[in-house]
Amino acid sequence: MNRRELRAGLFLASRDIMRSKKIVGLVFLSLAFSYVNVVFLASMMQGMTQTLVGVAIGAEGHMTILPKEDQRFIEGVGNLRKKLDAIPGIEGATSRIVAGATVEYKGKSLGRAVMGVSPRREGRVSVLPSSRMVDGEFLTQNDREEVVIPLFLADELEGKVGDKEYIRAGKTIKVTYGNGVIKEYRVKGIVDPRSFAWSNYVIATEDEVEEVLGVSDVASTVNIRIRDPSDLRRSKLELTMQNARGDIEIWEERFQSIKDFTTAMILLGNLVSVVGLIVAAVIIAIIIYINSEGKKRQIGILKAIGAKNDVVLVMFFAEAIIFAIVGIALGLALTLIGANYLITHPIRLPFGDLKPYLTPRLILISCIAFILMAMVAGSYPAWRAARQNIIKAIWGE
Amino acid sequence: MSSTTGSPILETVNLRKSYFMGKVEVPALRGVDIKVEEGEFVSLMGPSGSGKTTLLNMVGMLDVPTSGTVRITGIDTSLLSDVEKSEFRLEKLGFIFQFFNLFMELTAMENVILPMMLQGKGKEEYLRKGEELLKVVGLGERMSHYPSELSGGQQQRVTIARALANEPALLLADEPTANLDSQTSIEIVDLFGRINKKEGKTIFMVTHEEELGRRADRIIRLRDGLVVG
Repeated sequence: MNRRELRAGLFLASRDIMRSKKIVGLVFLSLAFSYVNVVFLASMMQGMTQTLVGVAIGAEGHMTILPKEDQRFIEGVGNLRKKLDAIPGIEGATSRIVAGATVEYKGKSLGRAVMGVSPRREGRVSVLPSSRMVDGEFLTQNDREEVVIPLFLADELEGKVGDKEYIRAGKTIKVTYGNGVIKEYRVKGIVDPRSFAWSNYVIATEDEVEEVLGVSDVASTVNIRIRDPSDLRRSKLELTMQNARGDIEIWEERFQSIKDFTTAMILLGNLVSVVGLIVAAVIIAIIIYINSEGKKRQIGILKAIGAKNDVVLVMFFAEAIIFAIVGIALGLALTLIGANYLITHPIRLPFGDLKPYLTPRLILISCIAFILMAMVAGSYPAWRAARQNIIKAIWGE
Repeated sequence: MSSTTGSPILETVNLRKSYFMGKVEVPALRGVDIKVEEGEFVSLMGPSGSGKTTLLNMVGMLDVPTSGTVRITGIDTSLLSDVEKSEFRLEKLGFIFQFFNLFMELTAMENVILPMMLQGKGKEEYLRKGEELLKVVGLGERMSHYPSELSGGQQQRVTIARALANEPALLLADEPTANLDSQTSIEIVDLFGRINKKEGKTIFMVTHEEELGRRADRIIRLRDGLVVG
């Protein structure tokens, strides 16, 4: 194919599209919504994934060190934290100590646990201290005899509907530890970390729980946030080689269900995108086919006056590509408008905000996929039109 | 009568074409020998089914003969590949069909410039030439009109301008007045006559209308696939 054939084919394609404004407008609109279908749902699935991953990492950090299989606690946790703090790739490390307990409020009793945290260090790893306080305040480093209750647990402890015994800052709860120690704690605040990860825990300071359990310099977990989480398996390996005194799990291993769920959602999103692409391909193939059938006589004349098959091929192939490009442009505009709205007005879910996660990569991949789809869809009807017998085409057969 | 150079621009030798209906052979041309000299305006006449359009299709390389030879400007067209035939049609032939066969989404001007675009001519050249040709066929004021905005006669004039755009050696017209009223038909054939005389174009026109056929320099008559006069 030479330049003049390309020029003639593109000229005919552009005139054909410009002349049939209403039909072409509908085709553009159909393809625009197909593109939205391809990219928008995928971005929502990505957004859901980001939210869930954010919940997991926001609760536990990127990595968690657990006691060795035969041990209850990680020993020598003070030194371990110092060691971790000295590693440049680690943004923060905090230790937590967990004790099983029964929590009572106004006659309602729930089997839960008390988690002792270091308020000063916790904020460098998890979202807990920075979460919205529904009532009261979060703990400070030296607090004793006071606890903070996550909103989900507070809801459960509030008793029967209508009894007006709302749990709030200043109220007292009774905690019976597994070792028999009974303590009455003043509720310092109700925190809303927007995560089910905290719903089983009353939050106290680390020193408070250690005192109750009669232990020191130990932890149930050491949680770590990494500066560059792009290769957590490598970070885990590096940490293991530093002899971290426990078993190390990255968040994907710790929250396997979230990992599985997000993988399933991404697969579902991809499946819907593929279906969207197929629908768009069928639209383009049908339009090009109908158009070429309606133009049989003109194709015959075009070939009779000396146009080679390539001119006809370029004409219909270019139409398919133009359909795809305009479909992408309109679809992308609709997607960006919708995405912008949902980013500023996210769908609020109990565990976080659901908003689209529209990355340049996703846009680029979807555009390339859409254009490739148009090329495949347009090629057969274009090829078929180009190969028509001149005499039969002139007589519209 | 226009002046001719005496060398055949078109020549067929023992040209035969048969179609098959199932296993039954139906001969459409049964050994046609014709010669058209350069600069001639020739009418090909004959009753319906005599093989006029079939002969024109062979001459225009739109169809392949069963046997025999078609020579245009001395070139045996059977020796050309499909791509070479396209090039040949683009450079040497101009077509006018009975249905006006314009591109409905192109203006009169765009229809006319299309062959020149296919030839790879520059924009300035094809626009100048297009305007010139539309003026020749009397449509200087209708250049930006779409075919749907033109009468049948005007559409056929656009087709004639288009057929002249590539400066063909031979103009082939298949029943160019079949869909026109008698007055417009005469105007169109007279336009052929003027083009033949002024531009020196060789015209080979199929028609079944005696009055129109007689306006050419010479008439070739076909009957049952054979030249009879």
